[in-house]
Amino acid sequence: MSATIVVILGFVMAWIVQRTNIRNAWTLDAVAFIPIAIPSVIIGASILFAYILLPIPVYNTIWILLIAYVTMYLPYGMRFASGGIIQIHKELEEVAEVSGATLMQTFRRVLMPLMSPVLIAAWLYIFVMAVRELTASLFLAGPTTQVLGTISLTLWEEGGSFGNVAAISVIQIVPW
Amino acid sequence: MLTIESLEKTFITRDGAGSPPSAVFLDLPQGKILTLLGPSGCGKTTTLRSVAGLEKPNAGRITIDGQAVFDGAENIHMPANQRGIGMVFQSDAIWPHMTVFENVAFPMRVAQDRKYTRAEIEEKVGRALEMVRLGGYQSRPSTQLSGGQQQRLALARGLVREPKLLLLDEPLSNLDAKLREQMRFELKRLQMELGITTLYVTHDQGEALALSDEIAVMNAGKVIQRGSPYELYHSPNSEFVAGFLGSTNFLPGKVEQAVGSDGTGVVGTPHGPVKCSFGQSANAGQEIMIVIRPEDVVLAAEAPADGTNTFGGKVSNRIFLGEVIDYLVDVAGEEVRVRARPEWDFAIGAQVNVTLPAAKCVAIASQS
Repeated sequence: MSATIVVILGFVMAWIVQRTNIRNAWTLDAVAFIPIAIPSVIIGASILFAYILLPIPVYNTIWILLIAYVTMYLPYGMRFASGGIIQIHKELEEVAEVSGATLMQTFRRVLMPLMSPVLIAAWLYIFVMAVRELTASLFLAGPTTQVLGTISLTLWEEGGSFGNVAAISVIQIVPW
Repeated sequence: MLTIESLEKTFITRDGAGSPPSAVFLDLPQGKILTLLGPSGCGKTTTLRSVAGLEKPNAGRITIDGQAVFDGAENIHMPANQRGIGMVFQSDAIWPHMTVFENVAFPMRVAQDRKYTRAEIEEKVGRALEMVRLGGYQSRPSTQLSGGQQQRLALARGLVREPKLLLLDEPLSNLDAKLREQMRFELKRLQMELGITTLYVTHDQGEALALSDEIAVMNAGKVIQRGSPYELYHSPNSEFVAGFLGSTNFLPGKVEQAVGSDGTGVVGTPHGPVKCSFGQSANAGQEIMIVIRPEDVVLAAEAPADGTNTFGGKVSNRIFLGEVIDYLVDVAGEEVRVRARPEWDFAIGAQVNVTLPAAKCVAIASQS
């Protein structure tokens, strides 16, 4: 799910940066890119603190993990989408507009099909990274919201059931 | 049909510099082709894109069929997808993920104002493809068409909903010379058959002359001259228009004898007096530029009996082009370009007499 959100968000944001005349749209690009420079330990910890203090009840739910993953992987989604959009000639969209298509129709019938290889690649890449994620999850996973990474760490710490750890690792590797 | 009044568009670049101010006035009668001709950056494409609604001008007014689609003062800006225009871009902008059929059907599939039945779509797509001679290609992937076919496909897509106005943005510039010539005739034929009002943008003067009912020559955001291709070619109003439409000889001079009743006057040049025709009145002493087309210059071995406008010169270069020979003739240190019939055969270095027929020497106000 985080992969899907990241891909859609990255696609829309990249389109805004590349194609609209909104002033300082590049700041969106820059802001979306920042998380790549921050270690995931810091992201995990700061999201933990932020949502303990903020009155939004996501702590100890699966949603806080989703927020963390989206934050961490947005730069990748954005880069993938930017590269894809740059390769599509602007006139392909403009001719759709002149032909009478609304913005949504242009997105759905022209941009999405042309971008689909790029978007699928981005989705797979982010999905695989999210499945393997451990560092930020350590801070954010609760007793009922364990992810593969934290499960295998717990299993290993609490008595070295290496068989189980190995099994989970295989699951994490398989998507590749 | 289409009117453009004092249209202005300023581009602000990153470093804050703006483009020169512009004010474009145009009106395009029903069923005619008007060409915007000019060098890169003169504002012709911006004007076209403003009409399409892809660009928002800073000021001015554009009406299509009596309806204002843009008005800076009243803050009207109709989105491009509601203007009901057909447009063909420079890159033919064919959607590579669709078949030929789907490309042409697109404008009907996304139509907001009415629903098309499947039979209707099939019928109209078939007709549009037939019109551009692509009948039978419906199920082909659009990427498997040749360059010329893709351009025709783009045209079919622009025409399929029978728009009131067709905008063509250098549609032939990506084609090779031979195809371009073919497509010129195709475009002209289609436009005549359909009687569709067309605004055409190009920097290619040959295309402009061949296709247009009228040409508007633009430079630096302004229309410099507007008229039929014949008018513009034979009586340009400025050096810019003369130089842009075909190749030209320029000869600076000063009016010696005021314009007579026959519209001719005498201009003093460094080479001697030249009789020429004036488009507007001129006073003695006024600085003037004489314009003469290379194909209007006459070359002869013997000086003609009437020595008016005849000068001695020496052939400094020649290029044989088949149907014509291009000469560069040195007349007292000044090079005159001559496009001569092949029977006027002179070797390089030969002495020739250069005659500039008075009726073909057009005097225009000097800009320098």
